[in-house]
Amino acid sequence: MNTALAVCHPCGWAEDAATRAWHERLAERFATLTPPTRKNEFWRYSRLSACFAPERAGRGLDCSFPEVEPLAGEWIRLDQGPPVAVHTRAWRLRSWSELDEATRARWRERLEPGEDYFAVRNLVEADAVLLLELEQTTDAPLQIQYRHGAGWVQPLLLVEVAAGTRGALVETFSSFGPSTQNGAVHLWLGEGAELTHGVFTADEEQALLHRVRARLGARARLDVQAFAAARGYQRLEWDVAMGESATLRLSGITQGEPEGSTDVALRIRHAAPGATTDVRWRGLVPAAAHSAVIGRILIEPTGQRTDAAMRLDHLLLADGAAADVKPELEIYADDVACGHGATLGRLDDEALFYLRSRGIPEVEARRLLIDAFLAPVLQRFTLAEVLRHVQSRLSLPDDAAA
Amino acid sequence: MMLTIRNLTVAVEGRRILDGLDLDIAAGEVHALMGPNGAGKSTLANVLAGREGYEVLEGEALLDGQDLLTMEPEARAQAGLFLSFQHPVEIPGVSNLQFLRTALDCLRKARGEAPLDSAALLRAAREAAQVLGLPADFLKRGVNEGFSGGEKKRNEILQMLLLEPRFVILDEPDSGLDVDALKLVAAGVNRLRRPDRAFLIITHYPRILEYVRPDRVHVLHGGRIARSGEAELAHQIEAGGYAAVLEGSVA
Repeated sequence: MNTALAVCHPCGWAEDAATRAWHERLAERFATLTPPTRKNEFWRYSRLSACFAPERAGRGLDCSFPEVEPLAGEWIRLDQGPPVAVHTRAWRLRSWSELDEATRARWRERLEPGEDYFAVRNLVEADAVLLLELEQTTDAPLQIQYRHGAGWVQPLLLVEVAAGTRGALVETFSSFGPSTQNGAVHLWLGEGAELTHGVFTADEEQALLHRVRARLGARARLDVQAFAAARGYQRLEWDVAMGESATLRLSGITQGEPEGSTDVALRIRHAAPGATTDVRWRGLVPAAAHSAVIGRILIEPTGQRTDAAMRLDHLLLADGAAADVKPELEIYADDVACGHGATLGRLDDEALFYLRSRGIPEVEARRLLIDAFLAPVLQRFTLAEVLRHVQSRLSLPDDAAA
Repeated sequence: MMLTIRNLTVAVEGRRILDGLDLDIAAGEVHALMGPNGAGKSTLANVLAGREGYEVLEGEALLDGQDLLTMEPEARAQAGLFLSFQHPVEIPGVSNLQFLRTALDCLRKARGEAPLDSAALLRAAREAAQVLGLPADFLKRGVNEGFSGGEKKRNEILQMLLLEPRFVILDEPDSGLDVDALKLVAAGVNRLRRPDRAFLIITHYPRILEYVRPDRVHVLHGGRIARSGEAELAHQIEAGGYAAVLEGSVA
């Protein structure tokens, strides 16, 4: 079923004149930027020092990755940025150097860098610039496996799902040495396109910053299923612009790890009418772990008939667990239905006693209550690849029974 | 004796609630514990089950010779104790079936028995739910989630039927029940009465005792058993109130 395509080794941007000029302007802008500080609301709870421990660019640095079995189905593996194995029929994968000028021009226009230090740095220093295109509906999810192990590794993935097409992507991340991955994926969903997008980071031990920028066409649908677990520092960002009557369903779980810090930032903009956003994120935080989720839904005056809901809930499993949760709605339209809420709590002692009084040992009783807490999000995980990963990782943290 | 309580003295936030309580319950017997509001009836139930927040100052409570007060709540259940809660908690997200299966597996494992197979558990749970008039979708729903007060009480009885404990404490199983539900609860208790099992029914009112006939009735007052008698004592309380039956008793 799988066809191994030629392995390609793109190296960032090709040197055509238009891209060179565009890239120079980006580099000039980057020279004026500094890393965000805690004064910036979306970086207030971030622990950025870990990101800057590896100083050099990762390209060309020695790094060995373990031999692993090929994945089943459709998959791509990127080591230190560029793809080293490509097995997909449904999607078309091309590096920037393989694109025609019209396609390059279209994407240069779409890649509005903004003022974010890490976003601009990813564009300026990209190790690999890859375009993935889906033009026919496929039920088989494409797995994208990122591995990094030395220096700063900065893959940039451009994804275009054609109008009326349906597909699924699952991104997984793992690290094999001191390094920082500052990656980005730009999703462009045509009219009526549907994408299910899984993000799984539990094999990640180093610093990871991963940005998802999504532009949803009219009636397009994006279904995000994310599981974040960090032993190092991890930041996941979604920046989504909603088209008319588009739908975003964003479901996520953070499983904190001792000494780890996971930082999730969500920015969703409704500038077109009739779109629906439904965000539900739940976090488990053991001792010495930190989890932050900051979400903002902005509804412009043109975003009439928006239906938006955001729930961010965290369970603190032990003393010394820390979480910062902040859902925000900014509404400039008058005909909308919006709701948001957040909770930070501990396991219910009454429920715990009730279960134990029926002969269930404390560790198992806690497990049942944690599973119950996660159930509303887990029920929304439909990608078998994500569910399999998640179920293997949702073990009770060691100190959760304390 | 199955349950032996000696000189049990318990404080909550520095205030003595039980003060030198003695109680013996033999296997096969049903005892009723009555008393006015605030007498400490629920405190006794909670202390025996191992709820936190109670300070045992003195005394002991032995179940089949095992010192309950030094055991974790789950170990007490594994030793055969079951508390039917006065106010059962709701646990959304944990289905009744999942809860029953986990509890039964843990108890059977502690008793050295193999886990009950799923089909047998499902059959037993459905039958018990039907007998107790619980809704058909009950097993799929979260534990006590959205249940009425009466349904919660019947769910306690269902758990008792399936978990088959040796010593059962029913903490006000009759409160908030209409007469039909009360009869169902009483029938559940009667169904489990056996020579090697004992019950302690905590209640304000003698009504349930018309359907579950007790071997002994005790009145808790002043932190200890102030009066004990046969089933007839409950009727005296009904007729004359606690003041009449406690007159002249040592408190």
